[in-house]
Amino acid sequence: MDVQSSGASSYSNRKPILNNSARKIKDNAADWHNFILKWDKLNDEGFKAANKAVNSKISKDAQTIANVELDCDGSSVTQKRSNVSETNQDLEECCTQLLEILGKMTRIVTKMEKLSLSIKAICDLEKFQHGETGRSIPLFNTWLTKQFDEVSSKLLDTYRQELSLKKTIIEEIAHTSDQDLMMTYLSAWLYQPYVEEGTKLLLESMLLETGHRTL
Amino acid sequence: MSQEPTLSVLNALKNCFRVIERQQHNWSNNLAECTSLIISLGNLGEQLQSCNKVDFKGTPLQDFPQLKQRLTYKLNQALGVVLGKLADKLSALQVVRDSISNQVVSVFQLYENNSEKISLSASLRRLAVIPSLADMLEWLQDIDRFYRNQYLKRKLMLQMVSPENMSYIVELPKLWKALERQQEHNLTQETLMKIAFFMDSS
Repeated sequence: MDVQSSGASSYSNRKPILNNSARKIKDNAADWHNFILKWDKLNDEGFKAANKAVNSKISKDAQTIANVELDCDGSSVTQKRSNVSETNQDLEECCTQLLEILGKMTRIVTKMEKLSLSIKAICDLEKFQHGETGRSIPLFNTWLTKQFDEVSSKLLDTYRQELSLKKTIIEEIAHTSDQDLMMTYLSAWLYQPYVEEGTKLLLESMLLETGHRTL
Repeated sequence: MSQEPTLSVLNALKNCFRVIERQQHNWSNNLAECTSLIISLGNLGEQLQSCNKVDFKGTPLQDFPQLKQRLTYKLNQALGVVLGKLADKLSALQVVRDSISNQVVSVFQLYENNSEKISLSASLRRLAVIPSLADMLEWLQDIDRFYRNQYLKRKLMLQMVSPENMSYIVELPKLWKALERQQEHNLTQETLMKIAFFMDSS
């Protein structure tokens, strides 16, 4: 089964021939990379929409206050009302857009769950084939198979937590009038507090180990 | 008295003004980049201020573990990145200031070395297209002082940035803009206009 080492030594010019588990893990690593790229792109799009939503909300609140003042005054109320409905429409559009983005992000996390599950399955298979200690020769360079499982579980936890944070932000962002809280929602969306520097490092190490990146 | 010393000072002045003209472009480009960085800095300051003000306990964010600390950390990190970029831009401004200063000093050295050979009337003589030596030397000093002042003020402004002084960071874009407004009455541009004919003359 361990074709990689013999393949690498006798045909040094060729790419090492990977066994099925290794191939699957390599594809998985590439998928992690692509999903995270997609996630980041969605994060940027979502931030733009959220920012717009907050601005509409602020101007809507300001107009409501102005309307109350105008009601006392009794002049040009109708025109202001149409403005309010315009901002309402803007706000609704932004929220719909945000919900769409959340849907896409949820799908990404579901796919990430599948990736993590398949790596767990590879670990189980290995246990079945080689016993509790696992294989003696690593699939790639240095990592034990269970390390791939650890990394993908960590990545999955990170993005699950982010998804749940984003879900809360979307649910609440249009329902608060506290500008500080709105600002905090926006920064929490943009800066993704649960994605640590270590997370990106783990991903990069996995790409390096599986040969997607070279030193 | 020979014309040669006067001519050599005039040539040095011409070179110096050429350098100033070039450096002035560098200055404005770097300053424009600084301004957008300062706006980001102010924005991050506002975000940090809001994050500090919000009591997460009473909000829908209360169930997220260490969210406040994590967000503050990320915002401070972003602040650090912007400050790093600003420090780079500031050293670029320093390079402009230094190269202008060096040029001005060398013109003055040349003039002082030759001052005995250049009569007072020669220093004060002006033609339709050439301002007098004395005038141009004075303008050089004004320009030199202008860049030194501007650089120093901006440097001091950035030195006062600290995580304890968030309201200052939030105010910074306004203060920075105010300094730019002072510059609207642009000394370098005006001087370069005054010497335009002199620069074209051979």
